[in-house]
Amino acid sequence: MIDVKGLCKSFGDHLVLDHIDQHIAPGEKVVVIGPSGSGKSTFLRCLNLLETPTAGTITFEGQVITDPKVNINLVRRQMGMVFQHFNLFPNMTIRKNITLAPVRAKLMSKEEAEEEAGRLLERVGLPDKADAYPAQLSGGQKQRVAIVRAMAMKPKLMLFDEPTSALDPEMVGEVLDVMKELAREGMTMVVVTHEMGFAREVGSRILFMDGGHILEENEPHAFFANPREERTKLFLSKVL
Amino acid sequence: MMEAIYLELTAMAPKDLVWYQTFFVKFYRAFLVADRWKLYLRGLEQTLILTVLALVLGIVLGLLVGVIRTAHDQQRPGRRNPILGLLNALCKIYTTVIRGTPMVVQFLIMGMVIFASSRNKTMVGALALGINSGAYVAEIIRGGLMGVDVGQSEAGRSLGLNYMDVMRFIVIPQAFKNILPALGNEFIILFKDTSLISVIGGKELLYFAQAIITLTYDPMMPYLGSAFLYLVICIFLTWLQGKLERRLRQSDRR
Amino acid sequence: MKMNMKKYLALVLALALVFALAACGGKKAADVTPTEAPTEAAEPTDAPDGAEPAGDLVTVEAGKLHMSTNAAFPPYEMVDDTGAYIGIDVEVATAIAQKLGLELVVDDMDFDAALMAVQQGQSDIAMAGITVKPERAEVMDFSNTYAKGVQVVIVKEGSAIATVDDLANAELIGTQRGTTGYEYCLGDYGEEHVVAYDNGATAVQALMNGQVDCVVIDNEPAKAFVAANAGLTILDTTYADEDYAIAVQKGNTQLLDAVNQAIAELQEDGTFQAIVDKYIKAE
Repeated sequence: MIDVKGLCKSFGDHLVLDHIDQHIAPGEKVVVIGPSGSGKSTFLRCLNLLETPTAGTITFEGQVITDPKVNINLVRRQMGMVFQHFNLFPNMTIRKNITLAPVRAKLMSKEEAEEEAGRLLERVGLPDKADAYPAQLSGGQKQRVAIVRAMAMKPKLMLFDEPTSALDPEMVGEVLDVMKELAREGMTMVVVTHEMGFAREVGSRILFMDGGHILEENEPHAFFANPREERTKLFLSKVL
Repeated sequence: MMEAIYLELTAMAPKDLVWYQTFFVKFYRAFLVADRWKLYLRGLEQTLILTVLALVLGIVLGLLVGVIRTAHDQQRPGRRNPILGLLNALCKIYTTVIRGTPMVVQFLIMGMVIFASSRNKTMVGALALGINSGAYVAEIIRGGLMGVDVGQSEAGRSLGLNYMDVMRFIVIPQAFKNILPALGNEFIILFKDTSLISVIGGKELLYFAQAIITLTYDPMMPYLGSAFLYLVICIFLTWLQGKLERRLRQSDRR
Repeated sequence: MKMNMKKYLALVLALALVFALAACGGKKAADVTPTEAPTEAAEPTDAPDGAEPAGDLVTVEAGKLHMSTNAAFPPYEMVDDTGAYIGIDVEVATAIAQKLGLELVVDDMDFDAALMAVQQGQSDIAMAGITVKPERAEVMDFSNTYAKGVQVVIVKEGSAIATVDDLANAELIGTQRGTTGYEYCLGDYGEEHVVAYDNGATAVQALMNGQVDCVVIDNEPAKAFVAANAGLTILDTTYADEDYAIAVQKGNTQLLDAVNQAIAELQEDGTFQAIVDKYIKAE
């Protein structure tokens, strides 16, 4: 589904991603872990070109999206993204937050979009919040809405950038539950997270990043049971 | 009846009048003789026309310059657009010159140098005021746009919205709410600055008040009267601004 | 406690307002003796020799004689290259001040403001080519006249306005705010055909620019403006004739008498003519 070749990204003189090669197949749930500053968020943000790669190519569904001639807006419609700080639009109701993009992209009519929004909100347990504003919701509720907002575009792939890091501990569970549900339905997911339990339970593959490289990757059971690299062992010993 | 009293009082020697009678005579002379109040209203009308023209020009210019400056400043390092750079430099000169010179001097230059042969002082005045206001509005808008969390536009872009849609639905509405107090303030200043146009012979409320002083030799009533009219309009504008702010704050309630 | 303070403040403000209004009325009522026939005061009563002692003459600032004027009205008052005030009015005022044993201080402002200043006691005298008019005499006292003013019309050479009668056809007449020229034009041609500028120089500049069709202004400054700007000319017929006098605050008879006496002396000993000759060349 996504093919990354020789991806480099630097901010000024600082090289954040150093020649990353990676292939993500449909249906995979790739969990990216690693210490802060390792480049995992930048890697994720490069996948939908929120960060413009310095070098390398990214191919999505057979299309080289790093080509400047590609209309990136059309590509992004097929990749949902969930942010650490939710980034709901505070000036709109929850319903408008969810329906804005599909309606503007002419994927569906306003009525269809609102119906869809109602269905999705019901699924994440927030059927009565459609007319509320983001400021009236708790953190966990906001993040569930953010997931719904991304899903309303019916994306083929979902990117999660530390979706639970800004939440109070008692709210982490409700968000992870929604993500697990999404995973069960077969959604292709790339998740940057510090939730090792989630990585072990949901992940089909774990990427460990450090210093702009993917140091180690494996299926979760083997990864957590027998980390190969010293750096990985050190990291796991601290977070587990 | 009022006129009869006025005629009776003015026939008397001024020293025989009690203070409130003098007050009445002055009031009558400044506002009612020969329907002088109509002059104030004409002046107010001119003032409002000037304000609206200048306001529109100021917003258009301010938005243009503000967006150019913001777009330039928010470019990613290493990906600088040379055309944007040039436009940005021009915009910077504009705001520096306008904000660095007094309004009266700008009026005089516009009226006596640049449009030295124009008799349409309302247009010249509106142009000078609008160009002046645009520079301040641009800085206010720039501050507002830069003040919107970058995560907001990222979220919009990640949903596949194009630049225009992100600006229109997400960034500008949020920026607008934040800058409304400053913007309202700027427009009230602009409204009051119209009074300076009399330096180039432009006619507005203060000009007519002074015309009446020339006729009556009494500054008190015309100046107090025009101050009162300015004040009433400003109070109305402030009220309007407050109402708008309350409406926009809807989304903040918990 | 706080409430009481507010109440007191409101009361004080209200009283202040009433007194302010009463004062305005009172000022008017104080003395309405119209300026007496000039000849009477012109008679030197007890032939003074040399400088009159200031005596108990009260001025705005002790030892000083404040003159409010609009120093953009050549040759009566203007600013020289060093920024000093010169002109007929300024020199006459200096001579008067000398006679009164005072030092002259020139306060330069817009013409209408100069009139206000003397009315409100911010200056002792106003001298700015001020024309004596009954309406003005109601709110300030005038000395004996010391000069003749003539309102003339400045036009560009070859203008369609060839006589004063043609003013009726002018689209826009430029004037100086607060002057009699402005006032007369307002009455004669209507507000929409008249535009007032803060000073005569701006009005003439507007004429040069083509922003007005002609300028109505006093004769002497008109000559100075025409001399300074090529392509301007003064119409042969005059628009209005009038008398110039020095204005003092209403009711200040003490100062008025002293000024009148000084003028008489200056006219008698030839000082006055010498000053006029210095600025106005005989034609």
